[in-house]
Amino acid sequence: MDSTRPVPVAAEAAPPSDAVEPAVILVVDDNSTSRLKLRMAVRSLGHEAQVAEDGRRALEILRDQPFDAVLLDIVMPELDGFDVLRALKADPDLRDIPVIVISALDDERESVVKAIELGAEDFLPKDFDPVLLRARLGASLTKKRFRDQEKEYFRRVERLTEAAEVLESGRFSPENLEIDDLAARPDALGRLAAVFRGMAAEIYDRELRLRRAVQMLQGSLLVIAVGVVWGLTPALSRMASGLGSNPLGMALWVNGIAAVFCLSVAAYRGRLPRLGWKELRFFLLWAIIAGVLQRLTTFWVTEHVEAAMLSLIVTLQGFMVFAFAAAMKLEKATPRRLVGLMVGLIGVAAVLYTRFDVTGTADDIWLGIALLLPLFFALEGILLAAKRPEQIDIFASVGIMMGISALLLLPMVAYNGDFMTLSFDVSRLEILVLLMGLGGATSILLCFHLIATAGAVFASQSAYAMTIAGIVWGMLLLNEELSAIAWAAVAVILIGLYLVEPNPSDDELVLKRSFGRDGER
Amino acid sequence: MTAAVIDRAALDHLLSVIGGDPEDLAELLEDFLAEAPRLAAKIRESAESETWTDLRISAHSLKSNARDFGAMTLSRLCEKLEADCKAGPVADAVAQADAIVAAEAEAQAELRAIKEAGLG
Repeated sequence: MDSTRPVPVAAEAAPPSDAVEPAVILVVDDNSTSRLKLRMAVRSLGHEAQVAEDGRRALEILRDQPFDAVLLDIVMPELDGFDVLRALKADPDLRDIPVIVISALDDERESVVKAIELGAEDFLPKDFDPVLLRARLGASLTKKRFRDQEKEYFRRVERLTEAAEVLESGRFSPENLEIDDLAARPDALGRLAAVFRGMAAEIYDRELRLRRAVQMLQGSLLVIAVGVVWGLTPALSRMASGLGSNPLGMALWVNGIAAVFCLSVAAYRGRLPRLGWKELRFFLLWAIIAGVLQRLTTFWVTEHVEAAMLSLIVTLQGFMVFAFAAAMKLEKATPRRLVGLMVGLIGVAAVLYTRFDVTGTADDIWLGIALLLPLFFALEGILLAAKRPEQIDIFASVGIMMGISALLLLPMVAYNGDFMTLSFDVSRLEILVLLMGLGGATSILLCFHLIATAGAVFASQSAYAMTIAGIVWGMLLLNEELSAIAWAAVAVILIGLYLVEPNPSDDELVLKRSFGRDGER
Repeated sequence: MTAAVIDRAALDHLLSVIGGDPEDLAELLEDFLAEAPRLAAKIRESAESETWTDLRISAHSLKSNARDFGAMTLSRLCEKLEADCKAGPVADAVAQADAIVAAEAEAQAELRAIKEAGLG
């Protein structure tokens, strides 16, 4: 009578050799002796038996854990066997569990008929024979297992269909398909899933490589374009200073013209934004860095540091952007990208070294101050990469910044008495100022676009392109000489671009594909 | 005398149903010996208070259990009472219940004797 005695003693005595695998059976009977008898009988067949003492408790247990079959007494107080059957069949999660009703057949024939009509799988008389229990339970369990396999199969087909719908929506990334477990199964459906996933992955990888290549090409062209436009500025400035202009007065005009130009384009496109405090703060900060600090530093430093040296110092912005971006986790900071930046620097240094005397011409203090210039460029790049209000049109953004920086320069120009008056009688100076305004706007527009598409680190390499372009423009506009090394430097800088590679886009790759069926296309 | 109260063939059948282990049979019998007097008392109570559904269900339970343990007289008495309950109010319910209580006591004594003599 030791209730802790291990249960399967009887099971060992009569192993269910020809029976199905062990199952979990729920015995429902309000009569404790009958319940115990059924539990022992079920265990003797090698199955696990759990018990419920009434219909309500039975439903609770069934909703709580999975069962393979139910042995159900009909005559019970409160919720009887019929009520339990009705509840089971009305529940989609439970309706497939086979129920064998236990009935004293002699006087309850109509009860058995009613139970079968309500969905019972089979019935068993109260004084059943063990062979009969084994046979009926075995048949019910086999059916249940078959049904379970069928349901599982349909679930897998359904999941594969869902994965196909994901592909139809163009989201080819393998993790979107979520069929790894299906593909791992050794059957036909598993094979189909594996092939399906493999093909999707192949297409995805190919498209990803293509997108990176396009991004690389686009980024490189933009870097060169920014460099070319920016590099034009020193040559134009030198031409303008020959015509009696001064840097601050010029900057006021250039920023003003750029602002009018950009805002006009934005207005024409119907994209003039409404600004909140957050946006205004961003534009004010940008204007202070790009319009004022960069201008003033350039203005002071150019008088004390030799131009070639300054060009070299400005290119250091790439490393500063790299350091900021790494510290702020804005972009991936890999050794490869750092090497790429160094390769570019070597290219620029080589051409400057052969062309100009870079060594020891400036005061150490002024060299230190000159380092502020690449720092301000780097800050601008990081600011644009991390904080630009993406909903605001690119022309409007640049126009607002230029306008604010013109307003900020105004008092300084007035204080210095550097106002430059231009006449409507267009001469060379007026044309130069207009060109520089448009050039300034274009370079910032390109730079803005470049940072948005390729990231701040990649964009910082436009400093290299700017230096080289400055030399080329000098040659074209001022008849300066251009060495073969300058051309070699261009090639080295391109290698640097390749190594740095654009910052990969966070946007999910979505492929436009039409998988229309026949007659649907 | 023993043969008239308890049908030993029923006990053999019950042993085969639960897997053949006499210890299991002893445990099951113990449960019945504890449960049967409660059911008989409930039958007596329900007959007195004329709560026919309770009476029917208790008679139904004791009928099946008694049959399993070979207490045929007790089983038949319960079967008759259950059938009568289905037909409606039972005029001699208390008398029938008394007979069941007596039969249960008799079966109880016999089954205890059998258990002490050794099952299986």
